[in-house]
Amino acid sequence: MALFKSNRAHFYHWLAAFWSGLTLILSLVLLSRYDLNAAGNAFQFVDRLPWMPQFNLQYQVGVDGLSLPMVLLTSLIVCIAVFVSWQTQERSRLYFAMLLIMETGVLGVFTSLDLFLFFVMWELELIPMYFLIGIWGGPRREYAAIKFILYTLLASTLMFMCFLAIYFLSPLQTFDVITLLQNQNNLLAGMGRPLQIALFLSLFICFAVKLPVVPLHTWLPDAHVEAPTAISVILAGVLLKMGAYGMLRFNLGFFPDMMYWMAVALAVLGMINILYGALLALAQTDMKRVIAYSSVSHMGFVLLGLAAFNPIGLNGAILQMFTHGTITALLFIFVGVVYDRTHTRDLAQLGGLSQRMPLAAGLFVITALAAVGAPGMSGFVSEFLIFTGTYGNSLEGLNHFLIQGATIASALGIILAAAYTLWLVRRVFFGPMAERWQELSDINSTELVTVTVLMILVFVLGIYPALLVDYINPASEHLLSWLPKVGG
Amino acid sequence: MNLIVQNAWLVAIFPLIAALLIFLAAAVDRKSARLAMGLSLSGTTLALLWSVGLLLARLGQPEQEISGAMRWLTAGSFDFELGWAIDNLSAMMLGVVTFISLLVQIYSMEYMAHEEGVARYYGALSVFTFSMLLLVLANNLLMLYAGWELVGVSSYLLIGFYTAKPEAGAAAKKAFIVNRIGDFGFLIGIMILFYMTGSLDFATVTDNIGKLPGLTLAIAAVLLFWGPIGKSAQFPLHVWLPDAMEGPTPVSALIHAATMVAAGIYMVAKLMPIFASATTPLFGSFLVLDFIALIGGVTALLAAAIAVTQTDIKRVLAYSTVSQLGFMMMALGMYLPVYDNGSLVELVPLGYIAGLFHLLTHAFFKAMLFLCAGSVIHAVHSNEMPLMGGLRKYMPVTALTCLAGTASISGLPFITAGFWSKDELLLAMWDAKSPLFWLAALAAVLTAFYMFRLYFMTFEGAYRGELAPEKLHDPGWAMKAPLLILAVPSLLAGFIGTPYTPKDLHIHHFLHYSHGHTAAPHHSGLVPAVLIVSLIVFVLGAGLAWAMYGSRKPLLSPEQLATRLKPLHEASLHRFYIDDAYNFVVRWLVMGLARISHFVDKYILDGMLVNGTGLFTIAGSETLKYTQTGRVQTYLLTLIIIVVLLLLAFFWLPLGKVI
Repeated sequence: MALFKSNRAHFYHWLAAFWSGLTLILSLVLLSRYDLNAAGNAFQFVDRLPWMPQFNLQYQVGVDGLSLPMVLLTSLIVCIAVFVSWQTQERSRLYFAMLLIMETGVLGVFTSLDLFLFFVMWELELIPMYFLIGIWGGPRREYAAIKFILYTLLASTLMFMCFLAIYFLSPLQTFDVITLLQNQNNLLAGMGRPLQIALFLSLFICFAVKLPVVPLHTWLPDAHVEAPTAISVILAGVLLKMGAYGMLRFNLGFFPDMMYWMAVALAVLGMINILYGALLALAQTDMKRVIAYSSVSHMGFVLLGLAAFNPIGLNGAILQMFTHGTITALLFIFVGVVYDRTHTRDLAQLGGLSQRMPLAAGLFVITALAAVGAPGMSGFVSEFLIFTGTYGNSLEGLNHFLIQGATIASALGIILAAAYTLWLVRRVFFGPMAERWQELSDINSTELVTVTVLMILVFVLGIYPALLVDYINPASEHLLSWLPKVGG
Repeated sequence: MNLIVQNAWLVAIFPLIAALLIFLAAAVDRKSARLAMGLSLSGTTLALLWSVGLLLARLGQPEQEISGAMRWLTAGSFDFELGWAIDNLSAMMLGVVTFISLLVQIYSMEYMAHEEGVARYYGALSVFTFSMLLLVLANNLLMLYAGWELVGVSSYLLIGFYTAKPEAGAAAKKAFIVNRIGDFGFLIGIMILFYMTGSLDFATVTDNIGKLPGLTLAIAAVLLFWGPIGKSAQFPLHVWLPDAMEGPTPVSALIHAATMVAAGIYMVAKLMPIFASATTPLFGSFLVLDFIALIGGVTALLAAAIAVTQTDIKRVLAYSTVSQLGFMMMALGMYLPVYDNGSLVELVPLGYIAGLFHLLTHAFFKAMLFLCAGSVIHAVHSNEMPLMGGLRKYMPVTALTCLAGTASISGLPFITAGFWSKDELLLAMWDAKSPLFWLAALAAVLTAFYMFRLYFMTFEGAYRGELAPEKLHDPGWAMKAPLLILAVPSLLAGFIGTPYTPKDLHIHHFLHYSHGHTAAPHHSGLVPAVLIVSLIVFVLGAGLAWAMYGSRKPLLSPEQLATRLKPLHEASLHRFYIDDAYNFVVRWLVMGLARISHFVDKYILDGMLVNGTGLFTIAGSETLKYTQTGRVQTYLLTLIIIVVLLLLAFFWLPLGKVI
């Protein structure tokens, strides 16, 4: 995979821009050459190299309709992040190297088709992230970075144990994801039910930390608040999706019946994420915390969509991963734009900035409307799919109604989202302006380019979502085909 | 003509293209006001031509199918589509929307000439026109909902146009959130219908509507109706509309009087087969349509009662709009039950046409009234009626058109459009033998009263303002022309709905409701009882206003009346305390919940559990380091104890089965 060349990237801004740009172009090439007519279950562009044959380890990567959008999202967001950090002067060599190593890790997570490689890539992403927050972060950066890494490391220990257990206890004796997925029925043969549950839950908790699922979310606001803008963009835009991706790939892939059995829990967790996250966002006074908690809320929609176990909900969930990546990245970019100029994120001090920054204000209003799910933008599509899909979930009996109930309660989230988002818009950009913001400059051309690119994507997918959903749909149909019984 | 019919969807695309070009131009050059006006006007003019073409096509060949669809996305094997279709109802709405949009845009050329951000204003207006047309074109729930949300978005942008004014920002936010509360129900209604019928298409949904269990259908219908409660500012979600008056006045005329707020009425009419199929009572014998009528009735009376004491000219008109929308809603809720073997099988809507007829006439006269108010505000630089008075001498055109509008909304018999459509409304309630008839009559008295009060306070008597009277004058032609043009249909549009109208031109012929078998009864002459009530209503309301505000020496002093009816007067002044109740709920309930969540998150989840775990670990290791004594005996002893414990655990606990 040529994608991994970015590993060897040298230093400085342009170089980083070049490599991340190249990665983006390559992933676009990947997109254009991806065969939509091939059966949905096949991984494409699979590369396989022996790595440590004596331990049965290999380097195996490939993409399907689930990972392809994530690869595209990652390469796009990282490329954007490079431009967002254009002002970074302090130790920029190390900074950009870290950024690109992290990109390698994340792309590795999304493309690995080998459990061990997946684990290595998962860890590979953590370490640069720790330094990026710990070195270039805000005043409480060390606390945030430690919290971030402890949370995720603990969780990934669970994952590693689980992968080892699968290797040693399953009759297949392999880390190869393709083989494992093809022999699902055999996968868990010989394991007792309690062990299966333990493995399933440990994987689930690992990914739940990353997503993050309430109550495992408390690392997120701290990490966001302390991280520099570009890192927040990546954190919210891409890293959170690794959790959802893991759930879809491994929890659903290896333990479909248990995932199905957990449907009500997923819906309820999703509902809690949506409502609790939104309420928390309402109570914040720091611009970045509002958006951090809005991420918690929006990622809840992914969980809710998973609980549908039908193509509409699942497509919605996967699309929401992509959509949230782009829209939240935009929101964080604007926080950066404001913070770079005012050096504060305190909502009590901001206000009226539209008088000095009319273009930024206009674009932020559009972004905010995208975040509340206004039609014509991609957030509307995924929310509509998730709501209609999850309401018509494929479960039976009481569970069916419980999930419907959770869906209805979650729909309250659209009111709360409007409340905290528009409140944020008003507090930052409208109303009277303090004297000392007289000298602020409007959004500059670098920022404008990054914002425009993301915004065009948000609009295009909002108007004609089939462009991306046509990739996702076969994959989600395939994921669902493993379920014990699949409804319409 | 064929070109237009085959590409009907373009009607919505013209304003969209205009909007895009305007925003692009504005991003390049912030002073592109003239260009923005030109683009916006041409986009809307094209849309108007297209609408007229479609309307003529519908009139010429009523049976012709005008529709189409585009795949939006595929999930599983289900295609979500963007589908559009034009029936007579949507053709009429297209005409109304584009006609009034164009007039308001012409009016704004002068009204907004000295404002900053004209390009943004015209861009948002074009977005609004696009959204409204999208909503009208929709032939499925998805696109209806999309257009529905988008008009909310453009309304948000336009209410908040004066960005430096804190009230404008607050009002914009309030409008959006209150509308979202309505949309919450609408969305759930869509989810239920989609789930039960497997389709979002209007035709398919209504064809299969009979298969739904009675109560589910009733609940779904009530939830759907939740949307119009928000959008058409019905009680109890009407609170956003009066605040929305913080936006520029032409916007109030277009969006918050003539078109967007009528979207709720349009939606209820469009989905009438669903509401009329809900024959299972919600409780007792109370049907969904009864619920709609009741909400409309409460709204009509409540808003009228608030309007009588307001002194801000735009707020009077805003409450008037709320009240008139209530009238329309009330009419849509009128029905004739059809029984078969003693069980209720069908509901024949009686006020379907009445509601839409009033929507049409109201769009003309209310838009005109708002534009009149705009002219006055433009001249006097105030919204307060106590600072006006006697303006007829200085602004004759405005006064005359305002009088025409006032007469029309109050129902001046025979020569105004409002009389005919209001007569139709009352007739529907009369036919349905609904007790709401009397409530409507009372609200109509109040309507005539507060409208003539507005007219007298503004244009008659002595001038009480601060501005030198020499400076007062009628506006220029860009503002005067739309007023005069709107005056024509405000007076004459009623003639498509009189008992003497030729059948082919009659609104009953054009907009007949067809679902099920029975047609609504159609009166061939005036019904004397209803006519008498209409006359009494007008004379009573207008006469009272004249007695209190119009005559040289007031026969009845407003202050005296206010003291005599103190509790009522106070309640009306304070909008019946509904806004206060909302503020209370938001401040104490919602923000309270938010604060509690914040507390839980910060101190319990994060503070005690997460950081607590960290502290525990540190404390643990601090303790453990003292066990490193370096004595081999101690180590061995510990090891043996652990092994024994593990062995015991292995046998006692069912761990063996786990592995």
